[in-house]
Amino acid sequence: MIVIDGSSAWRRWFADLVVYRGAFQSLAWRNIRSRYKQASLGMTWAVVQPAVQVLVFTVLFGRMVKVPSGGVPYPVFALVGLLAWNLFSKVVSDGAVSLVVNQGIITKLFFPRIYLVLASGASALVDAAVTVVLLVILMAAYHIAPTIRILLALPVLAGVLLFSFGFAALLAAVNARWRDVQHTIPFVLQIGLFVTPVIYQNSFVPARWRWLMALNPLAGLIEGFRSALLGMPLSSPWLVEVSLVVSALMTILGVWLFRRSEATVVDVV
Amino acid sequence: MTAPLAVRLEHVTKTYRIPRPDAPRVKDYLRRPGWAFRARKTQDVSALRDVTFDLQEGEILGIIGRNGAGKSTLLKVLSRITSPTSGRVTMRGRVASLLEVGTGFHPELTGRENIYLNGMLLGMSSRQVGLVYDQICEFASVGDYINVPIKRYSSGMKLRLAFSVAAHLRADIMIIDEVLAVGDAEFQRKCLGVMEDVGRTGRTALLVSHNMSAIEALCTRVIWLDHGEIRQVGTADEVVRSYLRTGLHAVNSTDQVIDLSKATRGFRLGIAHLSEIAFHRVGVPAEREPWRVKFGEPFGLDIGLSVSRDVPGVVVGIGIRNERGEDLLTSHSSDCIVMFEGASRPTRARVLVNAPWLRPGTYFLEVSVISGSQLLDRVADAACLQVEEVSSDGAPLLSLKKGPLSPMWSWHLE
Repeated sequence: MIVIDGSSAWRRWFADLVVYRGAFQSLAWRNIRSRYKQASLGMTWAVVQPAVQVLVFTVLFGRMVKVPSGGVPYPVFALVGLLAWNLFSKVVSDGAVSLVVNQGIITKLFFPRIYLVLASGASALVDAAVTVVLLVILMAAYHIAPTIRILLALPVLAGVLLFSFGFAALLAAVNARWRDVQHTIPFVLQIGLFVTPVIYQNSFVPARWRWLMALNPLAGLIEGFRSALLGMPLSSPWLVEVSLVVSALMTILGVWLFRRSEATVVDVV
Repeated sequence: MTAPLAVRLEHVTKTYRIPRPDAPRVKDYLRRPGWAFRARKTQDVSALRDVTFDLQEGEILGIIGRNGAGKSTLLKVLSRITSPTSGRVTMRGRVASLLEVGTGFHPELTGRENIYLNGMLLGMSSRQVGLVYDQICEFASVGDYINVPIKRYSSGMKLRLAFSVAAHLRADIMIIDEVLAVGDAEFQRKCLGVMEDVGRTGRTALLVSHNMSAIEALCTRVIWLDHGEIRQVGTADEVVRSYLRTGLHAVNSTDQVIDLSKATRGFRLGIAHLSEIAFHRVGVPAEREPWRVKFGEPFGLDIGLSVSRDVPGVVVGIGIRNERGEDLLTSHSSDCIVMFEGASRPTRARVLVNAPWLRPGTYFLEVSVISGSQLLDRVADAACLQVEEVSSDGAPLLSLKKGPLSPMWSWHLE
């Protein structure tokens, strides 16, 4: 029995997520399959992109500027940061425009709209998995063995995903009405790469400005990531926990806002 | 005994909020902030007003109406694409909506991949798609192209593939918009077959179409939407008939003579004025309603006009457009040198359409007055003409004929 009226309960919303899971599979698969089509290098691109990034940052910041990397070889240090950052950046940039890009689909077919945001992040997850392989190879090359602390990488990764998808859902809802969002995202992400400790450490920032970094949950998460994988020290004890909470709040805010606009998003997109 | 209820709509209303054209602009906020902040910035446009109806299981409901009458909005509300502003819809069973074929097709992916993706997007599980995969391929007849990206397909192949997936969808309630209006004649027949199948298997369907013959052939009941409201509900026969009678403007075209003086015009020069158009039968008893002819039957038109000034070389013309809005032909009084030479003020033009090359269907007539190359007056959709199918023995090959026109030429077989 399907009831359609202006209101809709959370319970119904979650029930739809289950009923329409096939649509999610379809959208996610479509996103992954089509990503590197008609590129002669194909999936190799998922390796080339982070590899070139690491190379450039190593030469520029590791060798020339000599950014301290806490005793860890700079390429490994940078790649751990880039793994989290690229995941965030791709999920946000693809997710925020997902409603607009798929206008043709959402005006013709029903399924929970949040699946578009999630599915558009699917290829970012594949890219991240490829980067993990690259990271394993690089760590082996530098003889860095992970300790049992590697298990802590899982909650940190979950935090990155929560923050990324929550933020993407929020932006997608706003972008459906005001396209200004999609014009803002590219340069905000560009600046974000430098104000987030991706290619440097938190401790590289002067102490009196460090509280500003705490506002950015990615700063804490990336630090947690380096702590889990490379055994680097945390700059303050509760940083990772606070970042996880902030990420969870972002997901709640994003989903709540997304749902508010969902029912009539087709009318304004 | 009545079948159980499949769909129930209660007072469904949909209002769109659109920006007012006189809404304050950025400079108004600077110059006249007091006014700009208080001014109304949006206006409400209602696309559906208090629509209420029930649909029993196994019924096929046709929804007809002019462009902008709210048909698409109704389908969008029913398929949950957008929420109603107020009111309530309840549906029992699995719903599948086909507002378009090939939604979500990705040009870079192969036919095979797209069959799976589209099927799953429409609500099938990958296992269900797997079960009907071979049938889909066969129905689409794309052959070896199945493993080629669909951007390499012809548009016809893409359409066949898309429709084939949709045709193999199994749902209790199907919501279909104009899917039948695409493709060549052979493909349309296939589509009609699928639709008939929906009816035979006892599934419920809601169907929007401008193709009145399809509506009459398929639907057990028809709703006529007009300006967002239900104007008439009833059997396909009666609703379609009264819908077609109204013609495209408000003039009642069951009358033999249609008054054109109040019809809307795109432009007006003021020199000539088309006042009326009348239908009359030629060579057949006039006992049937006007504006309805059998396939191939001749008929005549009488066009009344007044020309206020002496203008040279007045020509009267009629144009025939089919229900898809395609202009089929134009005939001018100058074609057979019936032109008022020199300055003149004709008052009446008669045309005998002795062998209309029109297939069964609905046609709209346009009337115009021309002088030289100057259009003096024109009424689009002045009248609506129905060409009816002849009983089966009359034109058994009609279904094999392609194209919008069916000429009657003289043939000799030796």
